[in-house]
Amino acid sequence: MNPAEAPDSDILELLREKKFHQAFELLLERFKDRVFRLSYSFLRGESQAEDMTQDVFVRIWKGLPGYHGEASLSTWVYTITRNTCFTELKKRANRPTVSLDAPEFEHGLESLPELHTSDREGGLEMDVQELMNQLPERYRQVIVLFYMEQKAYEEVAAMLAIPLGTVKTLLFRAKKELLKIAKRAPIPAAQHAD
Amino acid sequence: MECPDYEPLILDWLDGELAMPDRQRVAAHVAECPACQELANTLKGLDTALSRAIRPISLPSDFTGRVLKRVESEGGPGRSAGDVANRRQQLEAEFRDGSNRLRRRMVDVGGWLDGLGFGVLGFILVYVGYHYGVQWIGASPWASSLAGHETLLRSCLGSTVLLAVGTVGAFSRQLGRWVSALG
Repeated sequence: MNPAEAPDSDILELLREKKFHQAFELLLERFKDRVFRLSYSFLRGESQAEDMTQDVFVRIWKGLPGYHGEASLSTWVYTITRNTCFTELKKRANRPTVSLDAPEFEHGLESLPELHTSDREGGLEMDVQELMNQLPERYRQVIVLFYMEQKAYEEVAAMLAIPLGTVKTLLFRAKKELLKIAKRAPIPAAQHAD
Repeated sequence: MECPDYEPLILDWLDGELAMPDRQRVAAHVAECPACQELANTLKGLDTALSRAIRPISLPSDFTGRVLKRVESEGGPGRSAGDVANRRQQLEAEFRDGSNRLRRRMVDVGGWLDGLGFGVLGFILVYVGYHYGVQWIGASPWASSLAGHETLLRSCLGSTVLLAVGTVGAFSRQLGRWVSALG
């Protein structure tokens, strides 16, 4: 069985037996990529998301004895992730200026190549990164998570702690908004052609 | 149902999220409505572009090792040694702050004792002055000019002594600081 699909009862059992190390190792293996992707959806840069994922797991480690299964394990992990990301975003908002040498700028550049594309098969010529940057933050985040999580609506809903219906509505609105932006300012596909 | 009602369903239909009979109904509508057909094609194209552009990212292979190392350095689960030390420092600082605030509100015993001491000293000086001051003045060369004004003299002497003792008392602490600074 894929560890990411295994039920969390094994971890809960280890926690009940106070085998924190073993429980943590299982939890880390099971959730690290999802925590990483959720962090990435907030912070945009891969390096920053990686650092954030480390911080989240340190927090989880410290909080393990206090977790008694009130919420599901994934809900608990995602809540810690969101809170840690919000704290980081608040810190960033309080920083007065960003210089060209600041890490934020470097990380922003890192994430660009992976999102650059042009799609001609679908008859839609666009620079996805360019379009995504023009989306409202909420829409951008849902789109990023939806595609990173292999179109798993339930997972996106759990990660963002919103109802499934809201995920669908946000996705539809985000796509319509993307199309609107693409129509407003089409970017020639030739500039990205190989 | 009108076209705007079908729009959100078209997305679900494309994602394979629609169950029967909605799936059949939407498919039939898209087949016969050019506008919805265009929307479906555009959404399909957008979906392809997004799927290609946004790929799942994953962590470096040494990530797990690094995290485990880091949590090892943090000590056991729960509060780490560093957290405990920080919390202790925080509590000590709070305690000191609280004590200082309490002390400020408490009666200044040292000040009261100083005041009492100076009061006793003033009383003794006034008593001595009252009883013996007039005799000393009577023996002085200007005794004849002050004759008949003994009561006034006593009052003046007493007030002067009290004023001097009070002034020294009030500034005694500041004087002490000046003296120790000089030393």
